Amino acid sequence: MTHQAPNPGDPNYDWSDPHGFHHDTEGHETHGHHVSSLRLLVLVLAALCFFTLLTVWVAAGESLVIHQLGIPITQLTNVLIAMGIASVKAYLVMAYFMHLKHDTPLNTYIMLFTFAVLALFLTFPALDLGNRGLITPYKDEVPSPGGSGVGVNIAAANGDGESALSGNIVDEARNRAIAEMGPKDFWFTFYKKDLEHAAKYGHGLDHVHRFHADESDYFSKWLEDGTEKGAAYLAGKMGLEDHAGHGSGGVSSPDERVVRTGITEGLFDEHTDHSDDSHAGDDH
Amino acid sequence: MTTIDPQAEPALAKPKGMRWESYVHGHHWRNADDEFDAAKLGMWLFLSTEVLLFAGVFVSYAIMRMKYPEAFINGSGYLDVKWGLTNTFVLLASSFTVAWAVRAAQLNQRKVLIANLIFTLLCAVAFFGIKLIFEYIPKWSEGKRPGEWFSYPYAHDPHEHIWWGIYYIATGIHALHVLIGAGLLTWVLVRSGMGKYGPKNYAMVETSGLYWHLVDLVWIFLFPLLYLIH
Repeated sequence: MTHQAPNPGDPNYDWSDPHGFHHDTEGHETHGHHVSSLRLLVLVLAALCFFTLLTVWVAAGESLVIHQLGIPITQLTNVLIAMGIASVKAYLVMAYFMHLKHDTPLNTYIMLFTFAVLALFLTFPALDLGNRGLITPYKDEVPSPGGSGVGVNIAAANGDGESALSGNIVDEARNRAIAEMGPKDFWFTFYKKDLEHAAKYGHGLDHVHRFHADESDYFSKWLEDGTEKGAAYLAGKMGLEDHAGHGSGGVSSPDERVVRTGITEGLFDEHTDHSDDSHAGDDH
Repeated sequence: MTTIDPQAEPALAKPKGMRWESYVHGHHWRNADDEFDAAKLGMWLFLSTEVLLFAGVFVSYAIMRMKYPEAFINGSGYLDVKWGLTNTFVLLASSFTVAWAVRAAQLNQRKVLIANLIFTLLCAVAFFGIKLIFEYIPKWSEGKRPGEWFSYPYAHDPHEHIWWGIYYIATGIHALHVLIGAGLLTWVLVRSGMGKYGPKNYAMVETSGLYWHLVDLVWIFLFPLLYLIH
């Protein structure tokens, strides 16, 4: 690694290699390249396996904290811990398996630059989506996770000119099944799957309804209420319909236009379909 | 192309079936080290574009998860950590054997080189088999499909088709890379059998290995992002 800069006055000076970069290595059998020791490779593999298990254990621990202790862990925490462990693993792979540790630094700089670009790509959407909560209160009263879930029916659009816009894709799939099986059988299967899932992963039914914790008794309510009425009640209770369309009780969304109140009163009124919404105008 | 010395060309042409002992670096390189380093630099530049390809996947994942967190929690709940974990170990083991294969080529251990490459290819088959038999086929047939093809009636969130879109694109592009990497390593295996790789010539083993490590690297990030959400 350490070498003295060649002197042009030296009789051994190689004019084809003025900086002496290749003087020491030329002619050697392995070109002087670093050969990883097998012991090191095995150790790195062991470390990688350990960190893989660690990330699964941490996730299981998080699940335990959320479902058994009832302490919420944010999505951001989940992602940051998992990505931290993954970054350690990525470092091990690149430094030792991919030989960056003993390679020309240029290859490392290329990778670092690429990761910096990736970080930039992630930062701008994160700034946008992460800060919508700051402006939402000025648009509407309740911040929302966003999106109407309304999909475009490509088949209809390409067909005989029927409406290209259909309902929510997920709702359609469920409604098709309800029509085929009848509501009673359908909802029974629906909750049976939940119970199986809960039994399989060892946590409560609220796993799939973490955001509706106060409605976790829906299963018993459904049994009390009977079939069709209960099914309708549950569909409403579980928020399946709430998410689907506009009739969501004034919940705003990044994808929808809402009334903006500003200096010029009523400027945007004619462009919105929320003008009769109770939340829309703050100072009617 | 301008040929400076046409008489020199036939002498430098490499004979077919040449073994590594008689390998001579290209005559436009100052020495074998320059050639090797340039090959590796080119591979790293290519790998950086591969990272940028997957950057699109990761950014779309991030945007969709920020917008529809519940769909991602529910969607991840349908995946079986057991198979994701198995496939992670499979890829880590194959990454290790590829690194070992490079070492074997450097030390002229041909049998070790070939054994490691065969093990790596078996890992690739195992990964793809697990993915297809335990993940793709059952999920697709249940209706857990991306976007417009979604038809799973027991979904809990109205945006689960978006989760499946991200899932199939991310794992699909990754699986494509597994196939390409396996193809490259098969080529290296065949040529190893012909004795083409040894201490004086192992750039192809090294660069194919780098590609395979990238496949492993991407999976290291995909596994927790897809399987370990709550």
